[in-house]
Amino acid sequence: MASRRTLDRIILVVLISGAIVFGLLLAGVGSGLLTTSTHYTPPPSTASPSPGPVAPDPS
Amino acid sequence: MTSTTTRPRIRLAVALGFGAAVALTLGIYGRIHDPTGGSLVTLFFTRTITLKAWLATAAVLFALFQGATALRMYSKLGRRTGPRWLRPAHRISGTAAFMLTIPVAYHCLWALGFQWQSGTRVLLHGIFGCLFFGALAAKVLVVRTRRMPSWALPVLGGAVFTALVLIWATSALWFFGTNGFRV
Repeated sequence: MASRRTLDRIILVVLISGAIVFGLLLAGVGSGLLTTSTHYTPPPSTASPSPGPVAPDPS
Repeated sequence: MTSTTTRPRIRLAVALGFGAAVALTLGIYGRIHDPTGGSLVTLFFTRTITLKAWLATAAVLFALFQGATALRMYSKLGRRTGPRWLRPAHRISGTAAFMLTIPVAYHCLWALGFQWQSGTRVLLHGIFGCLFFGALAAKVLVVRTRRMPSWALPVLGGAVFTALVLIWATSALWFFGTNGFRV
């Protein structure tokens, strides 16, 4: 029972931490840790009539 | 109507409201935030898109395990509730799936934004993405709150699972189908 409670607490902490990190990343805090300066190139669309998400022009 | 029946409904309404707020917030953020167009750190993958496609695929595999273990725990898959390790395995796999979706969703929102003029697939992908995180937030609240309506957890779990599979189908599956299984 005690180990189950501990696991539940660990999972809750991980979930909350993940949500906080997600929020901070979207707010721009520490986003440099996950991103590079390389410009994102969308994948070529060969079979679907709809193109992939289009990355904005950096200029 | 007694308070014993109204209170669970109020709790559920609060959880659903919180989930809706999460989904709306992400959608609004995706629209008003100027997309950076940057790439993710790709680790050992060759490109950002392959990293995202494989992370999403891993999350869906965890979600499939989640669905199977949930059905077993509630005796919908077999007569008994399953071994003791099933419940912690269910929770750990769900947490792992959530963690895998964070860098993917972060890149979608941060670098690309919510796009509604790039075709049906992209639009649906954005909508399902917002729905997924909203349903997930509501589900976590329902799991952690006592005396919820008995149907709430399976319905929300199903919504989370369905949204994740649809996200995957409109992104990773499309990518693998058009570009092959690249790493």
